[in-house]
Amino acid sequence: MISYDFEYYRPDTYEGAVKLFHQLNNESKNPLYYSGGTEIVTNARKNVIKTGAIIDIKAIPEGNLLRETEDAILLGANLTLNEIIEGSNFPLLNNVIRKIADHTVRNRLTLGGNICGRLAYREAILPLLTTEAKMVVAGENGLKSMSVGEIFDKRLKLQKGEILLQVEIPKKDTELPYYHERKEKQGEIDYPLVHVVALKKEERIKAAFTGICAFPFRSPEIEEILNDKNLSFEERAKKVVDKLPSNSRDDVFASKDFREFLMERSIIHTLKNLEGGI
Amino acid sequence: MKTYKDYEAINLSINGETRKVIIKHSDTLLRVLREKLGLTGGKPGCENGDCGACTILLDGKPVKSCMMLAIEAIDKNITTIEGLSNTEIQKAFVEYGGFQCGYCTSGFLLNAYALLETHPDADDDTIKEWLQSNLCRCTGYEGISKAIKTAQKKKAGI
Ligand SMILES: Cc1cc2nc3c(=O)[nH]c(=O)nc-3n(C[C@H](O)[C@H](O)[C@H](O)COP(=O)(O)OP(=O)(O)OC[C@H]3O[C@@H](n4cnc5c(N)ncnc54)[C@H](O)[C@@H]3O)c2cc1C
Ligand code: FES
Ligand code: FES
Repeated sequence: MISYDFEYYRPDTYEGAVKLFHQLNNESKNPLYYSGGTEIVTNARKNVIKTGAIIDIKAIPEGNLLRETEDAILLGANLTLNEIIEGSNFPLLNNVIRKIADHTVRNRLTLGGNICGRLAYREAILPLLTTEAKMVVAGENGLKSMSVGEIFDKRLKLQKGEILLQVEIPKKDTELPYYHERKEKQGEIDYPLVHVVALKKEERIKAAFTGICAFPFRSPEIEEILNDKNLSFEERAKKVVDKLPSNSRDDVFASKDFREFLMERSIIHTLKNLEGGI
Repeated sequence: MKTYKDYEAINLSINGETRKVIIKHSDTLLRVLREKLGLTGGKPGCENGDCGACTILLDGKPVKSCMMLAIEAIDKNITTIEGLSNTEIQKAFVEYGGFQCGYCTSGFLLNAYALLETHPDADDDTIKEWLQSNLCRCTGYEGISKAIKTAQKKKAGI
């Protein structure tokens, strides 16, 4: 049970949602956009978040689109993960998000919620980071479209009151060879200790990671190492771990050393799969 | 735009009936079903999305009612375990010992029922993927697994 009250709004347009957000913010109601609600409801129950107003964005039509054109796949941020798995044609994304939570939770948990959520993992961003995806954002000045590399650095850099509305992925990126490996502590239904996601484009591997650090990332420096064919797979894997953008996580789920060991194994498997050889 | 600022009398469509109930906007669907409508089949377990004891069907799809607000269920069709009667999956759970203490059972039944309605020819991987959403601390899953396979065959007339 949630121990406090909040107002609930369900706007039909993104313009209405953004305007309402600022209005409620000016009234000091600490509004929150609400999509699948799985994180907000759970955290509100635990009193980890306090809000005076929820803005449910699921009635905004642009956020519910799933469309394929000749050049791109367009995914609304309000789509549930199961809607994407069943309806979209990007195998890497589908395989990665199939590992998030469980089938029943995926009937509510949304793409936008996963990418904008507070947890460290945010696995749905990984396949997007390896592509030339564009993120369509609604704010006070209307819509803007930014490349995922530009707008994502440890987190999606939204200004206050902005909504992630859509993700547009170039079709050519969705047809490339890929590999991903996710390691959990116990069963499959668990948070990842390490998740490595990689695409091969024009003979170069592009890779994104989560679980190992406190945020998901893609790193040019790490990609240089991954693509350095003068080094063996094992040497590359070791060097990658030395070049992580922050300390490896070290917590009750897994020690730093164990996470780094898993990361090295997963990188070797990725290289074997995408580069071939022994 | 729909705006709800105060306590609200809302209509929910549950098991084919319209039920009127007064809620506050922060009430979860699980709590409203159990504490205001007397539909206690859905159970509070973790209230964290992990156990599946609170599973209900929303427009035919399984969802965890502890993680959604009751207000979101307006204009949707809700099925709780009280709305399932004499189905093949229920009979098979009894026949194959799909439960012991029964705390997880309503969630398992609704999830399995939705699975067989959506994918009558579900293969082992699909069954596993759907049913991994529910935890049982008593049975070891053997009886549940047999019950689902049996209900699937019965529905297919095999
Ligand atoms: C049982 C369970 C298991 C999980 N397992 C995993 C896992 O394995 N891997 C993983 O990566 N994550 C996992 N998660 C975390 C989950 O992906 C996040 O909590 C996610 O935020 C939930 O999405 P939602 O749509 O329900 O978000 P909501 O609860 O609706 O929102 C979460 C946050 O994102 C903001 N937000 C939502 N949509 C938008 C938008 N379009 N634009 C701007 N802000 C927005 C909200 O304001 C809020 O701050 C799990 C969660 C649960 C409950
Ligand atoms: S009570 Fe809802 S998932 Fe456990
Ligand atoms: S029968 Fe007791 S938890 Fe499943």
